[in-house]
Amino acid sequence: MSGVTLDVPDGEILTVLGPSGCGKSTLLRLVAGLDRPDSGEITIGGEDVTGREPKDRDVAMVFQSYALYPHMKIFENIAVALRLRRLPREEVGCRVAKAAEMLGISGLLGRYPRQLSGGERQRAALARAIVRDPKAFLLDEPLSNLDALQRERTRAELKTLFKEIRATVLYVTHDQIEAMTLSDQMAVMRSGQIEQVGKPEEIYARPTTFFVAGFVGSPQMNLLPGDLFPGGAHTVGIRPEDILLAPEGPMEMGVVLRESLGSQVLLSLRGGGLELKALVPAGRPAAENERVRLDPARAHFFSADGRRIDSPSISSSAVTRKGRDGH
Amino acid sequence: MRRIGVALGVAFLVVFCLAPFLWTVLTSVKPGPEVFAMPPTYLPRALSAENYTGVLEQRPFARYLLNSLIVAAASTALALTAGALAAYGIARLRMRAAGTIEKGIFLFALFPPAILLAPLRGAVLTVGLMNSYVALILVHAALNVPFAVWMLAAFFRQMPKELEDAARVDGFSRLQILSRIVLPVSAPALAATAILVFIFSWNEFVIALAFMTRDEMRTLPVGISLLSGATAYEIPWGQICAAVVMTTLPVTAAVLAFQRWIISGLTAGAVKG
Repeated sequence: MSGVTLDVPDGEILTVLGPSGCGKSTLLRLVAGLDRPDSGEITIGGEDVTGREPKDRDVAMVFQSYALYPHMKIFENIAVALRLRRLPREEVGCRVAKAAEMLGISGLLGRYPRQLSGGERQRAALARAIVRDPKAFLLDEPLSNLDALQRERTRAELKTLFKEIRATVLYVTHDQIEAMTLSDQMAVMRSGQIEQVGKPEEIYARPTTFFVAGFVGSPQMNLLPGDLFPGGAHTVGIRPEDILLAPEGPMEMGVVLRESLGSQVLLSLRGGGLELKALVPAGRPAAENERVRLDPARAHFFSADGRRIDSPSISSSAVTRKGRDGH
Repeated sequence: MRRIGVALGVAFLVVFCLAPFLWTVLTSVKPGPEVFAMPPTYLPRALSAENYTGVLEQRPFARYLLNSLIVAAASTALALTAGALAAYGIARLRMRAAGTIEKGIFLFALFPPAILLAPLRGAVLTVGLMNSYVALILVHAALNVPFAVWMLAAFFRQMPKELEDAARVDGFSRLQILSRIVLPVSAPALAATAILVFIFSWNEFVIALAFMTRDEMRTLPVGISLLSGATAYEIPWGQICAAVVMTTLPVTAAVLAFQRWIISGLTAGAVKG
């Protein structure tokens, strides 16, 4: 990992999104102090903490496996960090009770972690972090061990909770829906480098690199050869929802596959040497062929080194595919 | 049909394994003359406690038992303490020499203790520790440290690392992580190791024989083997058997009591708890 600069504004949630092995967990461990950087500095709340032990950084961390201490009851699990900081007994009890209440696990404080369900353990792990009232929260894929339904519910609860306590959060995930929904700011990471930082909707609307274009958004953006449009771009990306199916479309493509997503249908189209995915409303009648128009105003252009080209010299009018078309 | 076959096989194995011990138990409750009766009687014709009372009253059996307990308990505690610290260091601290140290420890375990006997006895004589608990405790502990390191390092390695990361963020120091997180979580592995080390020391014969020359310092195995009759030509088999039974039973009871722990210790990691 090198050349990574990230700033989490006070009271905001920044998610780091990236494929596994991209270094996002390492980034979190560096901030927590569990690993040492070779160079560079880490500041928390304006203080340089680069050389400090994790316990002296005033950060709390939630782990993917929750990492609850199996031999301690939930109360102890939540209280132990406060006890180690020599807080008075009554205050410890009071804060644990409050944190447990916020997460709805007040009734589970007398149990051991093994007696809890996955979702309850997750809440206990969050309570253990929240009770500390730290300067920053570090979360490492905290939802990935939950089932889909619980994940969706917990995601919303997390956001509400963090906003309520105005937490500064660094959140690492490989799940783009989590990243999109939770973030104030989102950073997309690949092989130890930050590819793009910005608001989730910004990143979705204007991916600055080829990698981000292909990684963010589901179903994935269509990534097509650049010679589809004039202007010399190496690659062109168009999101499936931006593919226009219209009778006057200049390209005729065959429908290879219809996948229903409920309110929408994902069509796989093939023709003219191209393969495309298009997202259309569920009501659209099935057809063997569709006429397609690609609108350059909705396309994203990238150079050979994967950077975004902002204003390729093309007209905004519809362009027909030349060359390979019709072979 | 198949079940019956398995049952018969198991029964045969159990009898085969337990027969010597069963014979010992039966002999221990036979009255004196019957022990040597020809032809031998398999089931005692009359039950008698005379061998037990004999061992307890005429022999320093209680003293042997005390010596064995002291030596085994202390050497187990020592081997486990040293072993746990070493194993944690090898398994978790990022030391460059960890691999070499671990291999070195195993190399030491390859030496048959008998080879070490003469030099160790010389050393003990030189420092004047013959007939003291200290020497035997140290040597028993040292011989078991490799085993303890091996067991515990394997267990520590498969412990989720996030547990210790969480502890570091929570504010535990390195030693607190070991004593308050790692060791409590490793209780099954510690119990399994402790029992096996204890049994080793409890049964160890050669070194105990070489280090303890005074009768009142002898441990059980040595003491029992040196039980002698009224004349040099008489071996008190009945009393020896009674002593063996009394030596074996406490350990057997302890193993049975800890059995579930030991099994979960030996199979730890196979199933996520």
